[in-house]
Amino acid sequence: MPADGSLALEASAPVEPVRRPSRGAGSYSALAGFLVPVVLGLAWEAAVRFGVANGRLVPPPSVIFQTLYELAITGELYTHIKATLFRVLSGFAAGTIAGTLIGALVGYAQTARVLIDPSLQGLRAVPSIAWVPLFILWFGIFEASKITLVAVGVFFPIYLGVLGALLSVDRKIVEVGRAFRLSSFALVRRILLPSILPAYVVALRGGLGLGWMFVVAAEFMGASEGLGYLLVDGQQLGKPQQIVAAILTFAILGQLSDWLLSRLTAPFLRWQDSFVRTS
Amino acid sequence: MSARRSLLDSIGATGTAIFLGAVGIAIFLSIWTIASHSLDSAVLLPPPLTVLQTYGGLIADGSLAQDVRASIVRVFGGFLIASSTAVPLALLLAYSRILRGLVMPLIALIRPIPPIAWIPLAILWMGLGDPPSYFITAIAAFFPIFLNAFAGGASLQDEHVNAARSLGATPFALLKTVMLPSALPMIVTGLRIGLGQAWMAVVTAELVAAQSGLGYMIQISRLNLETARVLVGMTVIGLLGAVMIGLIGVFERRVIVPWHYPR
Amino acid sequence: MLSVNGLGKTYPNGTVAVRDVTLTIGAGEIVSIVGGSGCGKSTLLRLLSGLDHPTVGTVEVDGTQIVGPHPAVGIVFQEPRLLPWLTVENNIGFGLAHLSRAERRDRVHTVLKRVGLSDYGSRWPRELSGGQSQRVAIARALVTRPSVLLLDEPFSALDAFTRVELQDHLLEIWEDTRPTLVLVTHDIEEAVALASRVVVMRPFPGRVAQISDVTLARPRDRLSHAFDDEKRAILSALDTTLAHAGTLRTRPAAAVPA
Repeated sequence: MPADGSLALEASAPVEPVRRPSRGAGSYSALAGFLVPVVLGLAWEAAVRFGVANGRLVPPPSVIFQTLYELAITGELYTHIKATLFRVLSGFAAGTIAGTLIGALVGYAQTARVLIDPSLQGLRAVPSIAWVPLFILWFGIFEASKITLVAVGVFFPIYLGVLGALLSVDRKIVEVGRAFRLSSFALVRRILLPSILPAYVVALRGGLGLGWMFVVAAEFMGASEGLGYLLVDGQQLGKPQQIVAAILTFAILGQLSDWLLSRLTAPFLRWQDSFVRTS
Repeated sequence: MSARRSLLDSIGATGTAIFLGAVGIAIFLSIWTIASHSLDSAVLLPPPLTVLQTYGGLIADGSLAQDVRASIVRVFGGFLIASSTAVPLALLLAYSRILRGLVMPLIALIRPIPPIAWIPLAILWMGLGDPPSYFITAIAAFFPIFLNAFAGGASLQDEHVNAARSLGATPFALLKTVMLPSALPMIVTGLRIGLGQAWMAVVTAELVAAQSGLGYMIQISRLNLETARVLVGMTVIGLLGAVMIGLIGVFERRVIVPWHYPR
Repeated sequence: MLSVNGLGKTYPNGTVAVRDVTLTIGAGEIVSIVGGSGCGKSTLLRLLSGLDHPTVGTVEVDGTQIVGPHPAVGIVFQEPRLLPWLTVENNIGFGLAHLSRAERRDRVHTVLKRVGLSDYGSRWPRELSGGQSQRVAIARALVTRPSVLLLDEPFSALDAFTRVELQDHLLEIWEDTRPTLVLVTHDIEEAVALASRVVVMRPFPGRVAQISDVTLARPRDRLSHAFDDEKRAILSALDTTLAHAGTLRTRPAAAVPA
């Protein structure tokens, strides 16, 4: 074979065709997904125990679990979880309602779209996090500004999701509704709403994920309780184990809430083509 | 009905879009002006004119340029770190099943943690100043770049590889002439998304952990109750972000897409 | 009875989709409209259904003018257009919201049996094959007991075997209540197998070129010479309309019911 690696026709031994590694999500990858972190955690634990590694900056699992346990016992963990959860859920509710209503209005009525959408698209260009100082100026440093930040973070994915879904509704299906002489109201209720449901659920889950992100950001600025507060407090007191414990809790809550949301909405999406269904 | 139609027809599709956009902006500015006059408080909502004047002031004394430069340097630094690690790693994992089994679980584990949650740890590990900002930005950009590059690598078609190998390609030539170009469209998509995430991360990091940059600027302005400056900062952040992502988007469409099969 | 008077449709950009169509279709007749693309046959059907509005002329069903979708007129589209979030039986019952639950259930089950899908009531549309979906679409249109059923190339998306099966099936169902059928198709064999009259249209602008009777006795044998003759006649009419300008020609036949 030419030394420079260039492609050249050459009579050489038959080449075995590449067999693509199977990409199926089998039990192997689920197992690996569980094993690898556990093995690494154990390895790190051992390294710290035997003095090979410094467990101060990157605490070993035992210290982290210890911290979690202490927080739970004193009831502190519960207080912080409750505070953060309250902010996430209120902000999610507010952002969802606003996003759904405005998205529906803009999607359904051409005039509304012309008037409202350009401004919203422009506002969207500003990363939601940049709203924090303005909200603090407007609403103060307490709950209102935090919930508003979460709401703004949730608003945009929901608004865009509803709008996009409405604009891409299958006109042929709408025509079936017209052929059966449905009133405008019946058309919305019996055809438009069900057909945007899948995209809406996707938007809801995306919004919820963003809500968790923004609540942390909100709690960075002047919170006295909450998981985000635990993060900042951990940094200020030089307790990385507290930071990791808070991150862990927060990740678990995020996954849990997403799972809950998809379970709650699943019955409404039973009819979906399994190829399309997002799990 | 027909009169409106002929007006829109005469200026064409792009013309209509610009016209409607202008109407939208006009409406937005009017509502803003009315709201700020009825609230009558420079702290709550300064009118658009004041904001424009503030723009002028900040540009004139060079402080806006300084902050912009600080943020841009950070975002590109973090972005470079992220892309130079994410792309090779992703292609490697796309190629090797063993490595994939080992490394993917780790990535899946770290991914759900939002960049902002890393800030306190980063500060503890690296101290205050610039390093945490770079770290956060890199982490934020890493995952979208990685995921898209991985998808690009995984989309490599066996037929292409077999064809190249039957023509005698060495592994290096294979990489250069088949694997990289094949993965390139998705890599660029990942870079575009990653840059957006990096920009958000930079602003976030500067809000809490920096002494310069646009995020720092709006935070300081808030503490000084200088709302006009906050608004200037916000709009500059939005504009710059849109421009940067737009540029990659253009690159994506003009340079990459012409030869890309939609799949 | 369906009467079409001087029907025309011109789009705002100037395209004349349909020009000056006058036609009377008696109750219980099966009429097929054939023609190449651009001849306006689908537009004509949509005008009959009320989904589109003519620029000139009128359509009347049993004396009532059609100005929009009408309860007496049912329509089956080229795609089944089943609502994916409703089960088969809820899809069929879609237009029966004004009835009591019991009556709706009865009617739906009856028509399900009629189209041979009794066990499929609680299935989802995604579980059905193309032929089954189209049968459900037909059931959905029929369950409201329309006096006129319009079909816009209903079987063109199906494979040849299923197509013949469903054509015969449609005829069977028609025997029950004998609604007026207007069937748009590009399949000449389908037209000859089903229709008692064939309307040949030609494009640019879309207009009726020829209306001829199909005098074969039912049940029709697709393999017979007579069948072939009819097909050939229509094919040559289509050829002619594509090749030269022609004026309206009607083959001498039994008197057109007034």
